[in-house]
Amino acid sequence: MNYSALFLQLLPETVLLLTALGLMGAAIASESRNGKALPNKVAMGVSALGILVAAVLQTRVPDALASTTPLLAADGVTMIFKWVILGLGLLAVLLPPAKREIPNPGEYYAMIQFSLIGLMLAVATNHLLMLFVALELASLTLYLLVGFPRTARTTEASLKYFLFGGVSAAFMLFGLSLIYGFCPSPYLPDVAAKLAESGLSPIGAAGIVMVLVGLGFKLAAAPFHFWAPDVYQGGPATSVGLVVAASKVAGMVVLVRFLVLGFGGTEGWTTGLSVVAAVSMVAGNLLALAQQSVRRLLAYSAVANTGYLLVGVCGNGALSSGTALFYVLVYGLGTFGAFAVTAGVERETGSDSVESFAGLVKRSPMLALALLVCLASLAGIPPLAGFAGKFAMFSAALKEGMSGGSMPLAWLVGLAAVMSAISLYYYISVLKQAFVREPVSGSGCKLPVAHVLTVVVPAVALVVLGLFPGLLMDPIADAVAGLLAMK
Amino acid sequence: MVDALTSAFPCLLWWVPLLPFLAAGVIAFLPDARGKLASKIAIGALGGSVVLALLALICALSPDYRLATSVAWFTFGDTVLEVGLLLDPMSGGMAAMVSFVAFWIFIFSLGYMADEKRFGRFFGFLSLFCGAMLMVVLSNSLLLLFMAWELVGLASYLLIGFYFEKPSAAKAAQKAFITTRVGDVAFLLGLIWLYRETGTQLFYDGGSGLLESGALATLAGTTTVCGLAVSAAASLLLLIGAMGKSGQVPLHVWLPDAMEGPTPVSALIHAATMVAAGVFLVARTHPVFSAAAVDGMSVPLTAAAWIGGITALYAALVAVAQSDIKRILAYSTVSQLGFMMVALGTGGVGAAMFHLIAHAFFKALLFLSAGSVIHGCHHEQDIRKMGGLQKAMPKTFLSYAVGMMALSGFPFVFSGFWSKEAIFHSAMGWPGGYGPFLLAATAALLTAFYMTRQALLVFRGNARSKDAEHAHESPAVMTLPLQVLAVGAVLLAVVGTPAWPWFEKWMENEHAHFHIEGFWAHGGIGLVVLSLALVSVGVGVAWNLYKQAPTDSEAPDKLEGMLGGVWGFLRNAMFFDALYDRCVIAPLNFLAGAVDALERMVMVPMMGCFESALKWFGRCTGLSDEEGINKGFDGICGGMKSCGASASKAQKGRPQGYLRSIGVGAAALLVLYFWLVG
Repeated sequence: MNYSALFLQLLPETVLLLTALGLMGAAIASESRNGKALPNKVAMGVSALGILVAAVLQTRVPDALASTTPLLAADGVTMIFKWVILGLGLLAVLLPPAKREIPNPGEYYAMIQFSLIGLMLAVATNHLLMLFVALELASLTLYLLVGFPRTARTTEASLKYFLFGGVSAAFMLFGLSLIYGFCPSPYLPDVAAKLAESGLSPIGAAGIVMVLVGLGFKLAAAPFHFWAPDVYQGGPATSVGLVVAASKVAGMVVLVRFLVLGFGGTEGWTTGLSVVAAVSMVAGNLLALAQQSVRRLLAYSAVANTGYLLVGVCGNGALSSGTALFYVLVYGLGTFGAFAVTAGVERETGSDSVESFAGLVKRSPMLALALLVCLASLAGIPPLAGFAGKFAMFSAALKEGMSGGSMPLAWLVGLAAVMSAISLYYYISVLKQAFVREPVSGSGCKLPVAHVLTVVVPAVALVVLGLFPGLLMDPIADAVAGLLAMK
Repeated sequence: MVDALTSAFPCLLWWVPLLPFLAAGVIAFLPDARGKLASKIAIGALGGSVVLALLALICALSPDYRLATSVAWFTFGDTVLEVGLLLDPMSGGMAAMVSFVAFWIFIFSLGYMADEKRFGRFFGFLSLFCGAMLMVVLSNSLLLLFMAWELVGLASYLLIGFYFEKPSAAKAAQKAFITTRVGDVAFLLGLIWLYRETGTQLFYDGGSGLLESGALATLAGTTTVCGLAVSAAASLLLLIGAMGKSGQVPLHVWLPDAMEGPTPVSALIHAATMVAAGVFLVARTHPVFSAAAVDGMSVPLTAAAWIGGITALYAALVAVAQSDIKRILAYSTVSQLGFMMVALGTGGVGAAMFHLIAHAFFKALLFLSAGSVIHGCHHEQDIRKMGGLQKAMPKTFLSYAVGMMALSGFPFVFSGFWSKEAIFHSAMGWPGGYGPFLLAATAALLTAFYMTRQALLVFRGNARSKDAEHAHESPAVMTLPLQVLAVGAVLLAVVGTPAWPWFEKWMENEHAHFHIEGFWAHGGIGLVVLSLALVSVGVGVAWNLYKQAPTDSEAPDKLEGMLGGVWGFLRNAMFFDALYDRCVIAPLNFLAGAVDALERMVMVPMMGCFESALKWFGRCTGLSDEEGINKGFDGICGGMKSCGASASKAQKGRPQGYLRSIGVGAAALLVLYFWLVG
């Protein structure tokens, strides 16, 4: 094994690890020396700096790096999505956790670094065991992160998240072991080769379903979504920011690797997955209609969007899964931006109810404008990135989901179009409060600079990606095509 | 000169929609206090568009002219999505009309909206609206058309809800947006389908475009559900989109409510933009509609003809019983759009476009005149409270009279007469029967009736309220646009008579020749006589009923006594709104509530179990603690207990039930998998 190449390949993760250890050390030192916790701003700054350095180093990882160990992949998808995770992670760190400060910020931000390491490794592996370990590293830290600072509400959210996560992890591990039993190799290209050679055995099929349950939990697909509303509503903003964007993106990359790379040779799972997609779209959109809390609304919209994303995966081809990965990035940006605005409103009014958005355009035109861009993109209104993403994904799914001239995915794409029309209603109801209603309180929203960045950056990115989707869609599509060429 | 223009146009053309867009962008950054500057920017930019559009029109005057541009917008995989602009007679004529009519509406707004505090923002929205509409008509790609179409929807939402302090306006804006979205979903599906089948979004692309023979043959040759050709099925989806935008029954409900916006906006929506977009879409994609046509008939065209006929008659009937000056005009728009759909369905693309453009002129004229009346009467809109305005507002009366006669189809000198003739001609020659023709003819009679009724009640007799007594003529900035549009409404008649049907032929990319016998050949004389009869009956009946103007505003309408219950039925627009409330909105609310309740309620008993189990557990450990076993254990249990209590108290939480859903979900997936795949 070439250790210097391995070092280079893992340098970004190493920097994150060192930052985490440094933060913990500093927290202990600060508390033992002057009895006070590390200041919140210092911890946040160090954490952001660590991620920034890691992101810069990630650009320096040579493109042509061959994989040094079967545990890690060094393909285009890895390169792009490690970067995406770092970017979304940086945005989450910049988002202040809550008005009430976290009592032990050193630990909190160290935990964030660990979860980012987990997510980065999860998008960078074709190895089933590594995949499980990386996802568990990310999940375990996220359970804890949702529970900071300890109140009845965060504890409830964290406990629910943990119970759910634990059960679905058990399912997933069992599924992985079944797959290993079906094909005695934990390496996905080997699985694909075995599949091509001898077809899928019932054991393997059961394995797929069980892994899907585990990944369905990560992605908040119905009916594995029950944790989402409570976590979105209860957790501190930073942690939820990680859950809504970075964790979802990582989950999608893993799903594409697992299903399309590993099991692309069989058609069977597409039927099951399209049922999950349909249920997610319908349940998510209908439940979102009835929400009064914007955080819960975003949670159900996440369920619905998972449904759309699964349509892309159901296409079972390079183009459809590539565009689905583009869409999950666009979705992550949109929902993160909307969530950051919600956190800003909550900071000011203390509530995330739809009514607390009343007259936002008067109180803070910038927040209102960013909210408009993000929600319109989520609703898929052109010319924002959400439209380009949905359009490319659905048409690619239609095209690649064809078998023998008929279109088995046509009903699903039709349902998705109808459901996204319904979704417009609840997005508009928030926008209506922000733009049409008169403000209840007269004061303006004053937010820290870091928070402003978390709102503006996604909105600008959505406009730019909407006008020039090719900037990212081409590289992602190429990378996915390259990945699937491994089969 | 034309050659020089032609060579410059691939670049220049983009500026026609871009100028208003840029103006909207600049105005967005101006403070409210700089309203005057904003209006100057908006009018200047649109003026530029008018000049460019007229130059484009000069290029496109030759019937076989076609300039199609395309640029790659983005690529995914090996698929390239292209967008571009198209200049041919249809888009050239539309662009010139849209920018010209909109320009005068802008000028009118200077006077009408003078007291408005958000004056600048109003012009910003107007610019966005016009830019989007110009993009719709000039687009060479179905995708670009759709995007501009959505922008039109967004801008209309902002404008209809401009007086958002009024709850009715906010509600109307939402209704417009959501109703048209229903159509948009169908449009999007049709678009994706066509794209999947042909691999192109472009209308014309040097032989491989969507509207060119290769793609059309593919579309017509492939059969899908119910034995329909793909072209027919996809066209039906596009037709639903057009019905939403153009207010065809049953998706018309938003259009009358759109009156809640300021009157210039109503003029813009009802005349030049928005509603025209739907008809334009069908006209533009007509080759797809008729790709699988046998003997000039195909399923989507037949549907368009019947829907158009029903809409024309329905809206004309409802208009008879309205008393709000703008509402009458709104229903007349719905009715006239029905006429255009009849023409499209029966193959008369040129006739439909002629009526569309003529209608744009006289309907803008009517709305602006109505705006002038409303302005003069201190924002009174009820025609029962007007009367006798002829003396107070002579200029407005004159222009209103021109618009009203053009709409009712007064013979010979008005454009509306000849465009309606063209539609009748197309409907008569339709091989599918006389149904749409009879519906349209009845509607034409009613049109003459309700327009005469409105004109008599507003302008004749005595003033029936204080506001009407003190009415005053509007300033020149408002009457000038009226006069310009009135001239346009008359002059257009010259280019569309049967003797020299230049306009229709031009729209259909053919040359027209002057034949005086066109007036009487092909059964034309019979139709002219029929039209004359319809108009005279309509006007005569109305004149007889309303020449004796009612004395006060409370007096019941003359017709009310004659019609009895039918009157209320018509007055409430045949209860479509109530129908939708009962059949669409209520069930949807119920469904959302039910799903929500299910999630909340199933968990309640389970949660109780969870809580009591935890309590019991806590009590046990409390006992063991009393016996002095382990204080630390008690601490953990206390923590668990408070957790559980807070979980149950806070809400919604039923961990076991939730967890069970994982198991059930996994089992269901497994069963599904093995059942389907075997």
